[in-house]
Amino acid sequence: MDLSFKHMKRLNFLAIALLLIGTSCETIVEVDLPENPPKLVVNSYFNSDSLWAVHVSKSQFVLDNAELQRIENANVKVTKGDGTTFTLSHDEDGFYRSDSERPVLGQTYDIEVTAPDFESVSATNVIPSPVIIESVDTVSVRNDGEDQIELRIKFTDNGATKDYYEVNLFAKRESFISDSSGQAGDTFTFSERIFFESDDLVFTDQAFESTSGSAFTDDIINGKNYQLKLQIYPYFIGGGVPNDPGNPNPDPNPSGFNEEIDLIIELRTVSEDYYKYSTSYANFQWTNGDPFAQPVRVHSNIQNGFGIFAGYSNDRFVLSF
Amino acid sequence: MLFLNLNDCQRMRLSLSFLLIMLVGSVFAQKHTVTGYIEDSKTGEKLFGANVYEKQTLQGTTSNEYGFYSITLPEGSVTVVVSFVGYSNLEFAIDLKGDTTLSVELGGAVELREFEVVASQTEKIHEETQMSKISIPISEIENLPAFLGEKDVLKTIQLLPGVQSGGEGSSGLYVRGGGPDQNLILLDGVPVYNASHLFGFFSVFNPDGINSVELIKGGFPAHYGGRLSSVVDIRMKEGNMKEFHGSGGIGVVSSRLTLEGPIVKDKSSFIVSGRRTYIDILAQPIIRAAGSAQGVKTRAGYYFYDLNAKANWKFSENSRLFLSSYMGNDKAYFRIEESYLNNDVEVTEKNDADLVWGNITTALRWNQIVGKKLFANTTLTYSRYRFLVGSEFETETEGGASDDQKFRFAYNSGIFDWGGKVDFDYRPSPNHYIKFGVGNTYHTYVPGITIFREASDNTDVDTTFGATKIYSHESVIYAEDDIKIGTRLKVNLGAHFSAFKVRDEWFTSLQPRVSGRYLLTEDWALKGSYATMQQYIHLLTNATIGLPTDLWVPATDKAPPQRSEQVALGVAKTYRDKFEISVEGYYKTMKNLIEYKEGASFFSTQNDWEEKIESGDGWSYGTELFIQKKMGKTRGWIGYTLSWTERQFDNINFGEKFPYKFDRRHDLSIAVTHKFNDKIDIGVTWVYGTGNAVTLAQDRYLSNPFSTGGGEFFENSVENFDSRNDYRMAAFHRLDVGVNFRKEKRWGERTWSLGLYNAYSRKNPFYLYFTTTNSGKRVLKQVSLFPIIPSVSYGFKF
Repeated sequence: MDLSFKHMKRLNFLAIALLLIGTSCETIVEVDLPENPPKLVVNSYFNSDSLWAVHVSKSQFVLDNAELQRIENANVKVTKGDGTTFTLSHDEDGFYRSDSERPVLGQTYDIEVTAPDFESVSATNVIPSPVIIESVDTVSVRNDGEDQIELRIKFTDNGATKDYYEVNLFAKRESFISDSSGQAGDTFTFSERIFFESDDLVFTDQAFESTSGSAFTDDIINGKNYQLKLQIYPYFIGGGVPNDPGNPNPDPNPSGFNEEIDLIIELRTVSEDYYKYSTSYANFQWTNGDPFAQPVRVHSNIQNGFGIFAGYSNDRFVLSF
Repeated sequence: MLFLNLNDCQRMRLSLSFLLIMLVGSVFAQKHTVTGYIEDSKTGEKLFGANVYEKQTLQGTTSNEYGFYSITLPEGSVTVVVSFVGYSNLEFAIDLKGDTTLSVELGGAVELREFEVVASQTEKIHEETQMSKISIPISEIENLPAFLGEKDVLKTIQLLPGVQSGGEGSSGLYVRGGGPDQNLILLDGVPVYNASHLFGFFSVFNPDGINSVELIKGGFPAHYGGRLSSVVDIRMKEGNMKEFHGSGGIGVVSSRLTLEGPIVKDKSSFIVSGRRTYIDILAQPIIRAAGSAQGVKTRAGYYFYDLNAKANWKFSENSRLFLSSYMGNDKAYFRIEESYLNNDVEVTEKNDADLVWGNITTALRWNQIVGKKLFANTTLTYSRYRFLVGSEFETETEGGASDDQKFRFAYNSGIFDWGGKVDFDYRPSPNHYIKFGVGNTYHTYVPGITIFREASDNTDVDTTFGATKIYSHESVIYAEDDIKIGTRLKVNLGAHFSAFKVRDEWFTSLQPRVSGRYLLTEDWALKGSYATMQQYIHLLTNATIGLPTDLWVPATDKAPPQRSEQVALGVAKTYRDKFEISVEGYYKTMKNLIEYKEGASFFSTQNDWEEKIESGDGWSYGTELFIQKKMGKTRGWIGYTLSWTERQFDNINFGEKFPYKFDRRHDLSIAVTHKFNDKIDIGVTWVYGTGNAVTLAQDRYLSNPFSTGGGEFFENSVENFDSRNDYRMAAFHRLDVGVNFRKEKRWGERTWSLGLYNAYSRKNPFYLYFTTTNSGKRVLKQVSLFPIIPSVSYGFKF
């Protein structure tokens, strides 16, 4: 119940504020923590639409002031299910890419990364089968006194498998800049991620409200044809409310921008490791710095190292405004 | 006629023979029972635990919670001694010819009595069978310095060995490695679920009305049960039977008033005791002013109150009735009202939020003495704990509008108990003190129900979801006997049997309880005990501070009852009749402890808390040293605990054992009061403890740049920790000082109390976190809560 979250947060902050009124103080503490040797950090979300890309960096002591460092001289080797291997070469900034190889749906991939002065690390993962977005309806609603647009996303879950999903929203804008005389100038497009709210029962974690995505399992929707409901604020898509007969004064350009906006709804099917990383990382961000929370361990499937190597499939549905 | 026919010599011989026979006969003569009540001569309050014994044979007993005692002695000349700490002892020389009633008033002026009053002695710790028990003198609770001037029972208990506080300012009790839900806190025999106000800074017990407080940490006698780690048995005063009195005080945080007196002199009395904070009333004008500066009507605040009310009737020497109740509440609230113009029409928006939690407990008790040796007590109780978070939002357009909204959300959690029990004290002979009883409690748990109502022109939703109510029965039957074997050995043997029915599940437990004391010499005793405890309730807690978001949930098949076993061994000595010294070692295991799963939390749409928990085990062992002086101008104690406490859960910390958050290796408390004269006395406490365990990360690494969140904020990092609670915060220590200035007035006595909390302003660690300073340096910061805080309060008695 995200409405309850807002109220809980408000009241929790009231409680904590009353608690810390005036008399708390902070000091810096000398700490005697053991320094662990740095390990390789391998990060990759791979998908059959894109070429292989893996990021390699190294971990460091928690009090080390330096920026986290990329590793540019690692050997990144990927082994396919049939035994053939290929290596990725370093592009820039710790990213290792292939200029020809793409991951394939259903194949198991093993990755092994070695670098001088580090223990080698490895991981395994697979791209799960995609699920198609059947339709997206939009309805205008009022929530907590505000106007919102509710998206109703229909899809069918495979009853035979345990599935994990992530849903993301993007707005792709094509915009042009008016010059001082009001004439249209250069056009440009950019894509940005849109935040949404949801009361939908598939979202079980309070950490859902954080920034790193919104993953869920098929626990309560296994085998069903489900309609997922998300709410967004109209100004994300230019302020207008499409297809709403109840709106007496439809305003095509309320924000003053001259733009066409595409709303992209992306439904990803993700591997179990992807889901565990996404939710634990979201929990970690949510509770970081909160003295009243349990410590959260972020999931990693990298043996001897840190990070996440996980596959996903996606399907996109575009609405134009 | 026959007698008269004898001559004088024969008559004398016959009389002497009769006398001789009677004298000889008296050696094998009958025994008679002496019974009565021990009370304070000034107030009529019954004294619990007073010693009553025969001076020559040292056969004795103690008075029970109602001041009642019964002792069976041989016919003839006996000297009965009555003693109780803090009072001069009284001795009565009696020629016992039949069952006798002897009710004694201690502490008063010596009056002309039927029996001869002789001299005095003092009470001794080593004579008791019970170990791991500390009776806290009420005078110490009142005279020791307190946080913000609020004298507090639970805070004083935290100064005893074996007891930790959760953190700075909190009044939770962590006894011998157990959690804050493992304490059976009884107020006049009724369990209290939430014993704290204000995030745990103050307890719900107003010390003005309290008669006695006992803490038991191990070797639990069979008549207690239902919690693993401790029993805090708090008994309130019944009310002065003779005169009308009152006391009270005005302090920085709260003010309190207690009134007591007879309803019918020496037959019935009452006591009413209340306390309320008023910060919210004082802060109102400021908050309102701040709000109107922004065009918003605001009211916000926090308050709590406690109210105890009791009355009792003495129908006869053998029969008494008591009615008692406690009501307490905490409330945090804010209200905002804002008006603005929307297309030239005024719209008013109201926003209300409340956070309420509180307890009600009520008990009706009836004492009946049956025969001379059996004392029966029947109790009926009702208890309610409730926590409510509510929020209401309303928009009102002048003249009404279609999009006017009213929305209300409420989260309710609570426990309702109805109970009844009968307890018997039976003293067949001085060598046996038998207790037995039976009882049942009907619990209703409401572990979180959300009520959601929305009314506007479009929708009218009224939904209740969240966990459904859970009902259960908890039944108890117990028996114990305190047996004196020979002159040196005393053993308490007992068994406590409990049964718990929840949904369709039955849990039962037979708990053996044994404790014994062996007198090594006249003032040294060796004590040992073994006790098994089981509890049918869990506290799901997500924070170290007692925020009411902690949920009380019953044991179920997925969260089975917690169970503990404890062995304790110790020595006790009374030194020079002044100091009581005890050294005790204990070893305790706990099973079926619960914790939230890693990353889980209280606020979630999933109604099943049972899916969010892990079950595990705990161990605690250590040694406690306690030296106490109860009499004289200087009183107090020193307590030192050395202990280890660990936990283990299969799915937390990779299934490896980790230190409990409150695993405090060394814990030292010194509490001393000194009375200079009738006008000035001081109190000093100093506590020292090694730091609490905390989880700190060791490594930091980049989060996934390919994730939709990570892509935008590329420098987001993850902190990783190797194992849970692997680091210790710095040791904490604190000195509190208080001075009381008393003055006798015509109407009574007044006291000014000045106090200094954290007198040398030590920055004690509250929590730690990693952060980056403005210059980009990564550091570990410690937040401390309270620096030096002075307090003033005014108290009065009449």
